[in-house]
Amino acid sequence: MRLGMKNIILLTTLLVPLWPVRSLADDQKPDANVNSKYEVESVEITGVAQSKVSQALRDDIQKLVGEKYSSEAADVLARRMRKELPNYSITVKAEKGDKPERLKVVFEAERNWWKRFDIKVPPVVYHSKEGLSGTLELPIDIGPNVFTFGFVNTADPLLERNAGFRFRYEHKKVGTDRLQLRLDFDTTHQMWNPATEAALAQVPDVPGVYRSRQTFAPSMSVIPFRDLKLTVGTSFDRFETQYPTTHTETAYAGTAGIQYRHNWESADGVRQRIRATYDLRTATRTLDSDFVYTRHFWSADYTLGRGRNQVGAHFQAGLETGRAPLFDRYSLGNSYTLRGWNKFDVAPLGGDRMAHGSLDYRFRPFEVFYDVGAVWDTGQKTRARHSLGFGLSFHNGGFVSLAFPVRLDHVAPVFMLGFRY
Amino acid sequence: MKYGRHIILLILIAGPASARLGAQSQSLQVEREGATLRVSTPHFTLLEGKPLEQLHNGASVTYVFELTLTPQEENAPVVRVKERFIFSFDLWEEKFSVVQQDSAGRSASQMTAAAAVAWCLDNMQVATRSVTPDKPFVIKLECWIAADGSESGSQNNSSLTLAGLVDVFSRKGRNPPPRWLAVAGPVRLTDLKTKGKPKT
Repeated sequence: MRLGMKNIILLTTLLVPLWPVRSLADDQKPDANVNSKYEVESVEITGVAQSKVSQALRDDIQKLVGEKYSSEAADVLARRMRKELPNYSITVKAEKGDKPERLKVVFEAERNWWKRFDIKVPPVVYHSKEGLSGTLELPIDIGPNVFTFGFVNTADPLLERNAGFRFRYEHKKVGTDRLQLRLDFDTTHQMWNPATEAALAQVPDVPGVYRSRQTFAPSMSVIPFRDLKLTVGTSFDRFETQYPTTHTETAYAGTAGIQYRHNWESADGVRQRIRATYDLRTATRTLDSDFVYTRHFWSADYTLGRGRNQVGAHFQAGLETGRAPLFDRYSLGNSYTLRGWNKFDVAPLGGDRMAHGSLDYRFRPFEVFYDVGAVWDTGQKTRARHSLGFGLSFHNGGFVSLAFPVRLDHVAPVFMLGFRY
Repeated sequence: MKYGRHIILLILIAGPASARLGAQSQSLQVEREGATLRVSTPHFTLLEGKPLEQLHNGASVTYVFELTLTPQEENAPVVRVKERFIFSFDLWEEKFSVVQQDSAGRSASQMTAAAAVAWCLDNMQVATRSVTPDKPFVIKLECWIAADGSESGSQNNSSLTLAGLVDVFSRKGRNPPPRWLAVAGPVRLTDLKTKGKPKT
């Protein structure tokens, strides 16, 4: 279709009035507050541990000091604080400062009483090959103590389907915000995929299936600075192995972990986020363990965003020495690794080596992704598998996606739906 | 007593209802000033409760004032004037300040609460040219707080929690923002007191 100059002018004349124009009155609003003539002398966050507020936000709040007071700027920061602390009501209060004609700005956080006994639904995922996986948790906060009772029924992360109960105690402030204590106790029953049971008959070296498992894992974490967390602890697993006769076995391990995360945003609106973890788990005779092995796990995530666009690169790897029970073997092909593959087609018994990478691009909630990974046992040939997919991913953790394994035969897509934070 | 129970029930129902009506609707004083009308309401207590608390916390609160003139025998107003005023409270001077949110951007400061409201009403001029002088009309002043989209709470709750759902479902049930109403009339233009020469 040819558009003449006259038509273009006509179209412009029609469309320009529809363009949203900020009125002069709107632009005048920031100066409308009479207190904008006063300088901010100090800022304060009350009602919540400083460590619960991100460093980036605390830095931005601190930037108010020395500037003229702006209730709009304070409101924007309060909105960000509400996002970070969804269980709190946030109120901004400007008060007279200690010096004349100066103000103190206080961000007051108040825990909502009904959220003290809130039921949380951590990751809930429907995977067309695995079915529904989810946990239901009831955390009760009493000061820095958090008691969590939960029910778990999940098949997503491991080769087994776990169903049972969970109890967790966390002390978020052992004398200082930088020291935390945590005790986990899980008691679950297991169900196994026939592919795993059939594969076990072929590979007798891999430890067998069990029908129940109890885990007790105390740990202590140190946060030397905001973005780094170091954890040490132990994990006592007892499980009732079914074959050749029913008997109880143990995997008692020392554990250690490092978590690093950092978010930053440049003045031109470029957002970057880095997450990196390393977990070590070593089961030893010293702790009277039946299984002796060492398990290493690394992961790294990087996301870069600007406006409504975001790209992400994710990597994870695992290595084991010794003979680990099935719950500590690596597996790929679930709702977050090798999406599109069925983990029982990839490796029904998992492996003691694993490497996985993923790339994704998002525009608003629309997402496309590519996964590549391999899981294998020492001495075996590695075979990298690839998958592609697309879907919707929302800020509140909701997602729906369709993923396809990249292979020549029997390309059956996997549908996934759920919430994951 | 035979009707005792019914009377108590009636008092229980009517009491709060009448108190509510009393709190919402007040009388309006109207004066003529040349070709315009000026309104005042001495007991219009806008600056109280949560909005006042916000102002004392250093925030701005935008009030919308709407004046309508409706002929007695008609339903639709013949004149409608709507203005937005941004109130703030000087934390050091402990006085109110108001900025009219229009292109002129008129403002006044160092005022008491009553003076601040009176200043807003002073800046709402209603032209009388659309009103027939000898026909009675009702003049109504309505005032409410403009939504600023910065409600507290957890609207952006990023996790699926019971409280999140409670938030979502309870939002609808929250109290509506306060509205104030003052009414005068029916009056005739010719019956109104004249205030003198119009201001320039």
